Amino acid sequence: MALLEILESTAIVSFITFVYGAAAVLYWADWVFEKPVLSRSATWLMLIGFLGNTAGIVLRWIESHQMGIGRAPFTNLYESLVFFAWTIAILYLVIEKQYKVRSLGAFAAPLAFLALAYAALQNKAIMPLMPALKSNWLIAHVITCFLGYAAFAVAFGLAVIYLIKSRDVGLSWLAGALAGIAAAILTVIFTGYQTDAFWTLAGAGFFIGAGVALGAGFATSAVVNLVKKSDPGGKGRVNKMLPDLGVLDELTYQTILFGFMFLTAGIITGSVWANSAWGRYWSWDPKETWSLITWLIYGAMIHSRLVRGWRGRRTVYLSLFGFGAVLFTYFGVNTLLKGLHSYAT
Amino acid sequence: MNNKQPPPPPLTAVLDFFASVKLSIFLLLTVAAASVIGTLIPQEGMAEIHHPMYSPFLDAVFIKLGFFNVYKAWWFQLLLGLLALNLVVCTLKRLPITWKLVTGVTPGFSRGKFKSIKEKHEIKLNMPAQKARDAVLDVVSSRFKTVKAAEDEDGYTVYAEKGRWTRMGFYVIHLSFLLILAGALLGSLFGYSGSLNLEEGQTSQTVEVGVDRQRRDLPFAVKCERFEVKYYEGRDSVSEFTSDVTITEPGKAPWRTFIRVNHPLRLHGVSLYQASYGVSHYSGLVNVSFKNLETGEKHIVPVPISAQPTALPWDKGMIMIPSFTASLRSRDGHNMGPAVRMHIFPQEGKPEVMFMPVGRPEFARDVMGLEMAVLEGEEIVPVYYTGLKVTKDPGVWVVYSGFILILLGCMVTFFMAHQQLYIKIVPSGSGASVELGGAANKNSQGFEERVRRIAGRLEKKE
Ligand code: HEM
Repeated sequence: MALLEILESTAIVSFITFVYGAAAVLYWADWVFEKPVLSRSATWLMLIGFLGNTAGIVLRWIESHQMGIGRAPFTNLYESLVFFAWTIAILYLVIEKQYKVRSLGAFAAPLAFLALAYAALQNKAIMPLMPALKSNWLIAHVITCFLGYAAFAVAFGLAVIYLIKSRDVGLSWLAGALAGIAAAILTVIFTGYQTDAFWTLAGAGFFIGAGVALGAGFATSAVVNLVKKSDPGGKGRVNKMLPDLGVLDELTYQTILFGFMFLTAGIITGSVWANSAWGRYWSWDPKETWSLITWLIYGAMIHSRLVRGWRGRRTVYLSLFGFGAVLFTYFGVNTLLKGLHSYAT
Repeated sequence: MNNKQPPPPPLTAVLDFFASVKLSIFLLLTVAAASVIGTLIPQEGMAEIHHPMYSPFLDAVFIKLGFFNVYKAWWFQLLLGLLALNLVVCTLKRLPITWKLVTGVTPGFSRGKFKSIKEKHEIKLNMPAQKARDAVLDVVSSRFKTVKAAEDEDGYTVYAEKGRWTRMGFYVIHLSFLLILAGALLGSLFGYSGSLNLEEGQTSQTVEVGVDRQRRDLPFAVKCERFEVKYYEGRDSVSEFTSDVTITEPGKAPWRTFIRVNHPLRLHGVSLYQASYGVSHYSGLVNVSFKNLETGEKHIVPVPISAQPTALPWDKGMIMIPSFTASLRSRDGHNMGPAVRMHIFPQEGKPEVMFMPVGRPEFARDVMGLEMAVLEGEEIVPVYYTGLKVTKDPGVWVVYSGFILILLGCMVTFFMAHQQLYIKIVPSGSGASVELGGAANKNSQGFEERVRRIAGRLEKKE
């Protein structure tokens, strides 16, 4: 118990943030310096990060019990971000073990890092739960949703790798633009830009979005162009390190199916919970609706593969687009739109 | 030569249109886009007043398009209907084919099919062909449901297959989606959602439904015995709201139960949820002092907070205090503290209604030649009501079955596949040469890996 008094869950999580950050740097360094030992150490760091992340979550659970308000550590924005990082880490580690795609670490590790870095800005206090949140369905809801979100995040990383591997400058331009729009929306949200004036908001969002999209599209296509120029025959190590396009396409799709199933489960557990707490399994609350929108986008994407020839590029578009919807569901709705889930801010 | 196909008959063309996956992609994305609108524009029924946000022109356009109530708009419902139609037609068109494929006999060993498989693994086993066949059967039969072996002119062929039924998985997903839509429709047609505010001690057998507050009969009577708010130890945050209720069903002895947040009471197809609570009124009494301005005589009259009038001294008439409020706001917004609403009924003349602050004799008033002041109250306590939400939704179990089925369908469709494996065993020198090739209808990368592992297993058999 003495150890517990020194080690606070929040302190562990802050430390783990840097571990993930270091892993991200090492994964990138491997891309640049082409020294596999770098990414191998990065994988160890990811593993350490994952274990520490797990410890942080368990410890927070214990801490809440010590405070006499025992509750599962999945009930506010801080906790959900910490759990999000955890799911990204485990999903990445499993995929790396199964498919030997270390290159994916260059995207998974920064995502885990960003999740925790954003968590650091949130209110970390362990508060007692209001009665409506005291439900096992809520725990099932959070866990399934975040497994889904994490899978979509990983699929996003895979889609970006596809872009780099395919050396398709035009496509990367578009992808960069999409990511830019997502980033712009997030920036608007993160800076706490809130107003009741709908058009001011939409207008500002549009201009910032357009600007960032332009920049991001330009930057991404420049990177892909650079890769293409520096390695014209596609014989360089970076290119070899990346799995074949066919494998990437299939892997992205499988990851999305995994995510889709958990998102489905997340929506279902959420609505069963809503039905037991408020007497309605569906009330078109913005958060709910956005998770449905995300579900519909990925559903459309699953069907798009049934139409002949809609592979590869289109999988990439939808993976990027869908992840944008995921981000908005998770962050945007809490801040920009009001609803039942406002507890999560 | 005329290579042109004859144009399909119009009915087939229409059916093909409604069966097409392109249409479903379009519909799925359109429903998604419509839902976005509903989250950006405040919807009717939400507390906010939206109209001043938009210019009158935009406002009129939005009203016309139903943008303030997207999810109930006719075009949104139409989109959902088209989605359902799309699914039904697509299923009717494809189900017979899949059914035949799934229930048909195991296909034979078609060499042509085997030859067309691109990726094959070839391994050499150090044993006679017949033993090699046995080894293959040994490895394969524990991994596949159907295994067949045959001898042919140049050796043996083994065919293994499993998971053919998983090709039905996506029908399960689609059926569940239809079930969820149907359940939602059922609920909106035959269900209701209302509220029931019960004071402690009060009983009701009806519930108020909808904005026009229609009364509906419940199949039982609910009495609120007690309402309790529990707090976390040593904190001021609420841990639980509990209504302690007695239920009386016709022809049965009354029984007692609790309704808490997240723990609704479900009975005869009706569910009661702990939704809110509040103070309905106060009980207790206030002392009102009267001074006869003619004689200087004084009298203190205790008046209960109720709808019962009490007699005034000197036969002046009656007084009634129907309600108490913990804080009265004056016209300029000042908090006047606790106050009562008071009715005075003189022996003759018009009754008078007034608000009087409690415990503030300086606010005395003259009425009918009496100087009246309200002194301290006694045992004034709030009487709580519990706010129950009452719903009836006959569709909810249909929706829930859809939920369970859709998850099962996803598991089968996403993570299981129809796998077919062909193995050709040919004697070669003193050993045997074994060629493995196969196909799966999904996750072909994963299946490749599996075939590789089976080959590895075989090599270890030596
Ligand atoms: C609107 C009408 C719809 C039509 C016409 C339609 C059509 C189809 C078709 C033809 C398949 C082919 C399966 C195959 O050949 O392997 C399929 C698969 C599938 N559908 Fe739909 N679908 C519709 C709606 C939905 C909806 C609303 C969902 C739920 C999100 C959904 C989820 C799926 C899934 C998960 C698969 C399996 C894909 C796979 O095999 O991996 N569908 N659909």
